[in-house]
Amino acid sequence: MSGNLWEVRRSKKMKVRDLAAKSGVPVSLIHQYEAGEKTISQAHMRQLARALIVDTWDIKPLSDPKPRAQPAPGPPPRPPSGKPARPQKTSKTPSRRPAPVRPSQIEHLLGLAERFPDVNRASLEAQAGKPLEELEKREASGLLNQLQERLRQEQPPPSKQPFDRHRAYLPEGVDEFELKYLTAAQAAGHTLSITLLDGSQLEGVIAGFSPYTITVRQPRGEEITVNKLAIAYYRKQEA
Amino acid sequence: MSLGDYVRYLRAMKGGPDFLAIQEGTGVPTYTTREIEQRYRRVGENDEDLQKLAEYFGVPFEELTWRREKWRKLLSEALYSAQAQNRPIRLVLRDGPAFEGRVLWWDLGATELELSSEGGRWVVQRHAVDDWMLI
Repeated sequence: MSGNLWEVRRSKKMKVRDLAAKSGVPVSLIHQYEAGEKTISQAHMRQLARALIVDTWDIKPLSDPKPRAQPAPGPPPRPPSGKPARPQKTSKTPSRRPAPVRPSQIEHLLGLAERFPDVNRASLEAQAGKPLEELEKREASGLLNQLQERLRQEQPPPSKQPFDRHRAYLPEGVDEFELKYLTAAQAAGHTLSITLLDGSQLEGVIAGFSPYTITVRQPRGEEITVNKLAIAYYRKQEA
Repeated sequence: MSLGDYVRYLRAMKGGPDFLAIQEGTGVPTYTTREIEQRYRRVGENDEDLQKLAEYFGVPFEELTWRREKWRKLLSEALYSAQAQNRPIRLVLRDGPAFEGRVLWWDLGATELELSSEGGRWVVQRHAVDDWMLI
């Protein structure tokens, strides 16, 4: 049976900062998870479970808030002295109201809803049982997490090509066109006819390439790697 | 060929001295030579440095100064214009033939031309291009 994150952590006798250090999840986020303000993301769930040496299903994705700590018993009453007793202060802490939904959360919810044909404001409000504007921050977070999870499952990001890189897309900042050319030529088994800067020629099927080199396999099976700086021009011949 | 590509070529032909070795041989700071080789904008404004590099590599000073006017971004601009305007471009290669044709693509290191004459397609390495002209 799964338990709240704070329960599992306490059962392991770990402090929040220790769990943060061991799992790599920020302290502030662990506090939010334990307060039930956020659903634990899948990635963080794995990290936290690994750090606590439990399975991921041992931890509830959305924790119930920790019960408020009971005030510690006070010191024994002083023996009566000659001074008149000071009137005791009665501290009356008002019960904490849950944080209301943020406008940005509603905006985000409606933005995510647009990406699904069957989700809109009405369906979200039906699910929550109240207008979006009356949601609590925590409830809105739960709805957001649900939609984001569904988005991840139903609309996975396109698979990356081997030549996709995190680079600024400036005309001189990418070399993907040449890499695409070589990728296609290699896949089709084309022979590359290369002329080097010194005028010498080289021919062979592409065995591999990098941003700086091309390796060709010659008919006798010999592989030659040539630095692109030594190449003047080349062309592919049909297989 | 830009000044940077030419210095890199000269360095390779001399056996690949690194920037520190060039600094020791010429007095030209390592960062200056590195900048000349790597930048795409116009570089090599200091004639004194270019004179020292020319002596070090054993080439005429003018071989460096005229290439200073062929900085890499200029070639980028020419390739961009040729492709955008669908105009043929003529690329003159160092000690080699000239290619004239339509730009199919161009990027950081190379460009593919569909030749006007025979219709074949060639990938030309940018560092091999000495001069260019939009037709």
